[in-house]
Amino acid sequence: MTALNVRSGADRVAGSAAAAAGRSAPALTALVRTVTAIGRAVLVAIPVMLVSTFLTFMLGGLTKQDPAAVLLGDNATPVALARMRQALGLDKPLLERYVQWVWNALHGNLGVSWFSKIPVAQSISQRLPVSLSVAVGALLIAVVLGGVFGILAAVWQGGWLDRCVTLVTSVLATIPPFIVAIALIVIFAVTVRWFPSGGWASPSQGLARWASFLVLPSVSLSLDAAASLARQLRTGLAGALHENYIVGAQVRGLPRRRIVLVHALRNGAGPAVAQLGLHVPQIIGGAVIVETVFALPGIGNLTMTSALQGDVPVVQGALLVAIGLVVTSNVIVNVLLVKLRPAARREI
Amino acid sequence: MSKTFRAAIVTGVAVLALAGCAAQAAVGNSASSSSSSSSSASSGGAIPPASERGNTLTWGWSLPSTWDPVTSAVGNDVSALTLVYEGLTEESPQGEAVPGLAKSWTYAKNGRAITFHLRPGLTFSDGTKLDATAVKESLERGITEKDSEVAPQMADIGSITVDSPTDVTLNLTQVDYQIPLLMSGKTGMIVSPTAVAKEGVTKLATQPVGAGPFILKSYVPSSQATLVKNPHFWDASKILVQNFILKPTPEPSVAVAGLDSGQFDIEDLTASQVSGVEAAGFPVETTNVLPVRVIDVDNKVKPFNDPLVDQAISTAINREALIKTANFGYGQPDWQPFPKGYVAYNASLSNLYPHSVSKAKQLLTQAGYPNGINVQLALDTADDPVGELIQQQLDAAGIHTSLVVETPGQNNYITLKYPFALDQFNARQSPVQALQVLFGPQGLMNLGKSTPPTLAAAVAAADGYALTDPRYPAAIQAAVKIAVMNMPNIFLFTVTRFEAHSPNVHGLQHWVDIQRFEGVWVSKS
Repeated sequence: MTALNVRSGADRVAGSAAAAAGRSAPALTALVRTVTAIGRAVLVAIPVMLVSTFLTFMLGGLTKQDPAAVLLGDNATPVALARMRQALGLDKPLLERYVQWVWNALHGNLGVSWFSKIPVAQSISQRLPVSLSVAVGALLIAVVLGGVFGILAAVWQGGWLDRCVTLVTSVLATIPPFIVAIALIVIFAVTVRWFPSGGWASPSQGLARWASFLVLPSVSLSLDAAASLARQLRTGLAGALHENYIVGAQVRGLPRRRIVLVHALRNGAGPAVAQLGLHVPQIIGGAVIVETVFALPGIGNLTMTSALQGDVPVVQGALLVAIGLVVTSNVIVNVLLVKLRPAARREI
Repeated sequence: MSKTFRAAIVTGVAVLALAGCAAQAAVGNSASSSSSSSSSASSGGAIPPASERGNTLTWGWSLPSTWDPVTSAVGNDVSALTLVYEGLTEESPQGEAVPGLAKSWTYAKNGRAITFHLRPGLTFSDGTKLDATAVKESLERGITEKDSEVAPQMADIGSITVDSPTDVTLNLTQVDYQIPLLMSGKTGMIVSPTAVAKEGVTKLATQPVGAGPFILKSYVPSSQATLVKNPHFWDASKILVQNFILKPTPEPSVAVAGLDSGQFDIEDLTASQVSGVEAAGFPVETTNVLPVRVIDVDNKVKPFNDPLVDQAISTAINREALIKTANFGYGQPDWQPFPKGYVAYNASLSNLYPHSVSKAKQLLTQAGYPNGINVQLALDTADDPVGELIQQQLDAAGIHTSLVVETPGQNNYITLKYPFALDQFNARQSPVQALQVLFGPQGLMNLGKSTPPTLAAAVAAADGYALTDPRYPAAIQAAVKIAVMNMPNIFLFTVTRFEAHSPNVHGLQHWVDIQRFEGVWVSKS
């Protein structure tokens, strides 16, 4: 999901069966396009998954991590160590272990954590809601803040608001989420005590309580994305507002609000949406640190602890989930882009 | 040893030795005096009838890495596991073996077999009968399970035989009078054979079935364990709360708020939090627990191969200052692997190498290093203040250290990558096993793997006395002295466990190892 790939419409239509069908049945075309986008994403995801899980497997072997020895600690007698390595399957060659893992994963068996002995799928399904809540919260905040300020800045180009947005977003883009997290804790949890400083409550314990634990982590993860979203949207929209068709619309006496929010936004939002897609992996990656700062029992926290211990089954499982999330968000962004501007459609 | 482990173990250990000294609630038939530091905190006088007591106790500690005692790799897990499992024996607050599931035990005359006599009519929380056969199956799983963490501790057990429904005999491959102590920890926790057979071992990680004081009702890893009282626990009359909630220790910044709001009744603290929590009006129990901070030294590596150098390092370290600065004044300076008050503690070693920079320099000169030495000190975590303080102290005596953080995911006891490493010895229920791990020829914490011949003989002698033999304390203490005088390990200070609690909590005792909750009750607020 990178920068836009705008091509001439004619060129594209000529080569595309979907587009041909589209002339007769627009709904069908949309469906075919969506399915194609998903299919392509899955095709891309398979090699990505294989390469990244293989690399993780290799890293475990190359860094000379010794989970059996760590597990046994000061009980690691030679006999116990040999038995433990056998129990974890570490006595087999790396490649054989990897093939076995892929085979099991294909059958839905992600294995059991070497350290907690809890099935990986169970650990992940318990922690995924936490990470997803924070990530979705962060995305929502980023879209609302970035959208509103991006549009305002574009509409009042060169005005004081535009300058303020540019200044603030420049500053925010340079501050990493964990600094924001600590600052937010100091202000909102310690000084004014509006929100808890960390921890987690599930929605079943009360929606307000759940939300109160979500606010600070989501905000600290969102600011970076909100800032770049605002800047991209401002640039894209400002460019679109100078196009001839906007002048034409003005001449025809269309209301200003409609011109900005419908005509210009649809064409100017592409880069911003693409940018948002780029931020999803960053938000998932940033969650590791933010989950640590806020003591959230999420996937990031699980992955970090497991990686430090060399708990390969858990790391691999978490990796699959992360790749799945990134691929899904890419699909959503692709579909959105096509919907916004058919000219943005591209082959992978 | 990895950082995560260390952190968990430090906390764990800290907890193990916990709470109050209320003598009237002493478990089993152990002596009543409190072994360790702080004074009695929460002995609440007479226990009111159930209708006037609170129902629920919430403990801020750490959730276990797994609920299976056989595969649990974190030393600290033992206190949480003790909530749901009962061992053949229990540990008294002072760390002595007292009756648990077994009401008594007898050794064969030659010391090569021990028979545990179970209480009659015991059941697991799933209703399965807890008899000699169940005990045999449970212990054998600890020996045979491929990923067993307790198997190394059970190396002396040759076979297990069922003599009668209530008598089970462990046949030993050598004389070992420490078995009753071992059976009070994870090694001796008895797991329901039905649960193992029906559900499989994997389920035990989240669904334990034992015969302990409580039954696990629901469990969300990293979040909360909810337990209810087990009415069939053999000592159920001493369990004075119906519901027990175990949660991870709260963030330091909300420790006081946690107690204030009633989210926690008892909380594990770090030394830095104590004064703040006390200032807020909450009692804090402090206990010198069994673990001690230590520097592991490989005496096969130059310059540590010279005992004078090791002695110089020990002399150059100002333990009082370490305690005062890095540990907020909590802990005892120590030159041996046990805290004061424990059976193996040898009083003649209480101030073995007093701090003296000039003496340290003199020892170095004697060893042939008049211009000092340059060495590397390995730390588990970059933020351990003890490491930097030791660096400063050694520097004054001409021992120049550079600090390096150990690679995570590796075990220095195996790789032997760092010959001079700041560490913590997390104790064993058996002092003989402690000596073997620290100093034995195969001992993991004996990095140089060299042992003076006199030590093996002294340890064997101590192991040859029954725990109740009046000659046993002198024998084990003699072995400790030989070890400390001949081995390079540099012991620093004892670990302290801090437990803050609401004024409504009564009857906490100071446990030197495994934390238990017999006799603990909550008054209605």
